Amino acid sequence: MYRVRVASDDKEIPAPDDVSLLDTLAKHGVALTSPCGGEGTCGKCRIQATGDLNPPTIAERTLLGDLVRHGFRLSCQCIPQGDIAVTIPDSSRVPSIRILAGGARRDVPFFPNVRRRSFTWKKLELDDTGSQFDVVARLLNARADLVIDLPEVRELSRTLKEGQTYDGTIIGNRLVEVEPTDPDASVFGVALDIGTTTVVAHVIDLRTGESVGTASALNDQTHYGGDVISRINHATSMDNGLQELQDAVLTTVNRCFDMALERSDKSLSDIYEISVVGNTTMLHLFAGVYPRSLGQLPYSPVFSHGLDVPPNLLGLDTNPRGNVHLLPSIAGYVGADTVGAMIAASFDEDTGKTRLLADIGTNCELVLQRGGELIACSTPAGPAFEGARMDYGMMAGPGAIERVEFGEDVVLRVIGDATPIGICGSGVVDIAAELYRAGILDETGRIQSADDLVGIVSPLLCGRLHEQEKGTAFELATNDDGEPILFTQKDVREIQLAKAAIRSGIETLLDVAGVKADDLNEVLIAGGFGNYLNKENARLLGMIPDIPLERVRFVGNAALVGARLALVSYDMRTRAAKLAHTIRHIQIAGTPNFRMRFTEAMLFGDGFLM
Amino acid sequence: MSQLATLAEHIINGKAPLALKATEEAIAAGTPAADILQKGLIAGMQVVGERFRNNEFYVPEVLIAARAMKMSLEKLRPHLIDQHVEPVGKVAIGTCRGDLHDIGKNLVAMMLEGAGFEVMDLGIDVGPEKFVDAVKDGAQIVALSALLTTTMPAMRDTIQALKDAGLRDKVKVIIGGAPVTQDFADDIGADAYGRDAATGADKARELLSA
Repeated sequence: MYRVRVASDDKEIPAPDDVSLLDTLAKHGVALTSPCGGEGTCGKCRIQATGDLNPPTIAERTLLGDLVRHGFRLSCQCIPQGDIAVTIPDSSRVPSIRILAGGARRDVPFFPNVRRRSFTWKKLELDDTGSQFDVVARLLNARADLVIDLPEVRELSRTLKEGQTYDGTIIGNRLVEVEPTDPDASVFGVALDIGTTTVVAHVIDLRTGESVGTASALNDQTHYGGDVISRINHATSMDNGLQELQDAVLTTVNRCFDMALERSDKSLSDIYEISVVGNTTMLHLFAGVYPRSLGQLPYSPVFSHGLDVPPNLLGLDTNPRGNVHLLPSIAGYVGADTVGAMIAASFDEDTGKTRLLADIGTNCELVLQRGGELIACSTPAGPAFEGARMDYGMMAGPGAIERVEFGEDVVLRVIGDATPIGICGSGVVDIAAELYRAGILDETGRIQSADDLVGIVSPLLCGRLHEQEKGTAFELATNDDGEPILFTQKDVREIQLAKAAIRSGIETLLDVAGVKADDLNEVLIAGGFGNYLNKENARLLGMIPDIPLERVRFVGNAALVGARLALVSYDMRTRAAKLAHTIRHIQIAGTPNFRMRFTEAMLFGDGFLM
Repeated sequence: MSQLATLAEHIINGKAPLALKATEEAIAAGTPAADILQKGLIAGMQVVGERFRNNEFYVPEVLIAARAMKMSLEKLRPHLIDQHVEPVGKVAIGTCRGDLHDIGKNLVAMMLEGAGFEVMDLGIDVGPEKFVDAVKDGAQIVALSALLTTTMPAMRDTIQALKDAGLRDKVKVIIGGAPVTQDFADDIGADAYGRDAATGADKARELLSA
């Protein structure tokens, strides 16, 4: 192993003696443009190098000419034979894109799987050897292994006219479309997160990496039950069960696409690629794969590798020449959503830290990173923190109470400053914590009646307590119709189930890994909360271990960010595949330790005996 | 309120430290262990069961109440043994092969304990042969749980294994779980079906008195 000093980036990396510099640099995060795929035919990956290297190849002499004498090389042709130093001109770099969403941030090389380039068709000369497709490929500056299918060849045979400018659309190594340049035409991609409860679609312009629109909707499958177990039961025990569930999610996804495109004048046919994350059951149902094995120990998925599928095979109405990429999964209950969250949180890089990632959805996935070691498990949280199955719960959107604070009376923050309609996940965490702090909620989770609280709690707060048939409820606000928005006793019970599942999962995972909560350098919380999850309140409820708050970071819908990264940067797909392959998965639900902790973790505050 | 009624109240409210204290006080006052069990712990859990059945209590309340009951029972157990108080019966319980969803099963186990049974918790993913062994060890009732339609057939296998071992007439079989129905119980020849954890414990008592 030799050393490569990258002067322009001020870093030094190890380099094996049998891999091209292009690949070695890419592996260490220095991405160079190489449209020819490292074949030595495009001349784009040029660098300046000094030190012990193989002599310049014929390809380099041809493409670089005199520059070779000034130390210029093509990195794809360079094999180190000793320590070397290189300088990389900006023109050789893949432009970088920064993905930032809800706290997760990552800079990645901008290199989408879908690329559209223009070329002008010219009269062929006598020495223009090869087919018309070969010439098109050359004009597109495409990689050497570009292929084309027969339907597109037939089109090509009628399309090409001298002097006309065309747009060629390439997906992976396939040329899928050649059309006269239309300045209004778009190349869009969608990052799609299929949750058990919520589906989110984020449309991206694949030529710029910029966001076009986002939409979310309740998964129509909830009609068949709130959790994955009921969906698996439905799919496997009802005659048309799988089809019904597949249709339901498809309807939801198409609705999200329509909503996300609503404000643009674009259509579904502008969408060329969809990058999909979701839990393993959701991906099986979306793909129309019978999920029986997910309902039986050892809960093995039918497929877990990344999949590329034509959209019409899934019943999607997006551009039929496009591609749907399903990110890889880890296990039956740790899916592509977790893999997405992991790449969003840079868990593919070993920072030497001990970190915990908790992706809180209907199913909560946990990943522990200790040095290069990664362990994942899952725990069934239920949909409470997504606002579902709560009496006045809703998704984070206009009209959702997202923040609650107690003074003499309640102080609310409502998304969009609208009249409140209901309460979303972050608001749920706040109200439960504030009620406990005020002494209105006892350690077992019972909301005290107003009679017991006179003199202890302010009269304004007391006045908000309503006796109901099934316990006491707290009135947060009134809606447009003057009806109260209540936080009920049953809601508290839902929260207890959810937070107990999460916390007992965390404790069991730490136990298996031999890590103490105090050893955690960082706890990352991902999930479909609003934007303002109050860390202190989450800790007070016991969702997360008792560690200093500065170590806790909220990263939003990291799974969706992961899907977006895989959309704009092909490198992320490679990393995702590697992560899914190397991570260790453990089964914790049902173990005696988990069971014991589950009940303890139901309690609030001092009742907590963990 | 009598001392034991107070104990029952603490169990119902899930106040473990208070329940434990009340149990210790009753023991110190020389109350017979059988009374503390019957009028305190069992009485309390019976109310919990009723409320659960009427949807007034949810799973967390039952688990928290059962936790209080268990802590008191641990304190009481040596006295029960000293005073030769026998359990109502002996139940072997587990989720059937292929199933590891045990929240429901744990609830039933707690309700059974709270009803005075000795519970042999065989855990999760329990194969038919383990239930056969448990019956040989004296279990009078086998209680089977399944959350998944895909694992329900394992219940039939367990009953068959009991038949094959020549033990079927020595044991009662009760089944439950979200996808399980009375029809399914009849179909596979189970002796009873428990719609929920509290009903399951009631049915278990009935099975032994029948």
